[in-house]
Amino acid sequence: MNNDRDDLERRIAASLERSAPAPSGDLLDRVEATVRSTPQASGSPATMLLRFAALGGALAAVLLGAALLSGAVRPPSVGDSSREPATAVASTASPQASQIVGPSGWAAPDRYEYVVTSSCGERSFLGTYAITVERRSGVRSTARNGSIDLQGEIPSIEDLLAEAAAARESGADEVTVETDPADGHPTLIQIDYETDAIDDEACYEITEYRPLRRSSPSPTSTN
Amino acid sequence: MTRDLVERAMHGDTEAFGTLAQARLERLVGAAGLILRDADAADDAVQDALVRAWRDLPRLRDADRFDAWLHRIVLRSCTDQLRQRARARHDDLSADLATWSDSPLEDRDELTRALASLTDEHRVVIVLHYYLGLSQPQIADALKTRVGTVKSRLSRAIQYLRAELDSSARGRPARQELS
Repeated sequence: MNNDRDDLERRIAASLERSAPAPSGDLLDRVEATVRSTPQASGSPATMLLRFAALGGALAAVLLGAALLSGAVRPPSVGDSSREPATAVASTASPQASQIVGPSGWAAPDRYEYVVTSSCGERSFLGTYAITVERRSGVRSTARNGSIDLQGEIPSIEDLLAEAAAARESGADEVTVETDPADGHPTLIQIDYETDAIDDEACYEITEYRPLRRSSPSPTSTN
Repeated sequence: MTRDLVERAMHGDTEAFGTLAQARLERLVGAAGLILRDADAADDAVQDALVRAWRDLPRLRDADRFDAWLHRIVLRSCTDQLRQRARARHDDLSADLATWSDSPLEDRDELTRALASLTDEHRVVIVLHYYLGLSQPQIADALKTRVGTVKSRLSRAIQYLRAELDSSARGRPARQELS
């Protein structure tokens, strides 16, 4: 029986060898030409330092390294959760997002507010934000303190759940959604698209979630 | 040697990356072609994967994981193409059938035909194991699934291929379901 299986396995391997196509003659040239015109993603602070040094900026690299060590400069992948939250008002971004129901059966109310701390990864949306979501109205304000302008990136909780669902659909290595045991609203969403890669993660800690009953403007929002 | 090349490529050395790509090109295109059953699509999938690998290389956590990481990127590129085909099949059944019947990789012998009739997920594990030579844990790592799942898929694929060859030898074109 084992001999039969070994024989079949040998035949499979041989058949695959015979059937496998060879690369077209110019494939490597095409790859190399594209690579030469394609910028690489920025890496970890250590990688950035090495690349900077390789480009001849040895002194500047030393200064940058010292700044990183002292905490004067933060690497781009670290969200700053210690800062006072900026405040924003969001409309739900898309019809699909507004229909998303959380993993514990939580469904977004028409109006609610929450604080999101976005950290991990190298993304533009990092930091802590107080957000008010109104299903029927448009965006009425962005960052309150003016230090960070979220523009069109103000997410509702449904948007964050949609991002997690899309990541899961696209085959992300790890997608975690933790929910509040009382009402099932998400409290933590973590996405790691590839565990072998750095800076492709997204982490959202959701706190101070509160449904709002009346449609009057939130006291913390600005027009 | 590979680690050195990977580290150089991570820091923007295109020649080092070219050397890495050249050494792997034949095997990657072969695997992609077997999975996709289309040589042109395999070229496209591997080209996309290598360019993406170049772009994201500075984010690789460990240079020693380069090959495992690259296999995953190629697999993802192949999976994207299979999904697009599935959508096209749904949208236009006749166009899809024409594509498959034109495939130059089919029908060379009974075993090749049986391999081509495997489901995508079973063909992927067969190609990774018997063509790329990955172990079951390595396949599980590449597919981000459990070793037990890989073992089960391999076993079922082998069973299916054996049954196909047996029925063919008896002159019966029987097709068993493999889900």
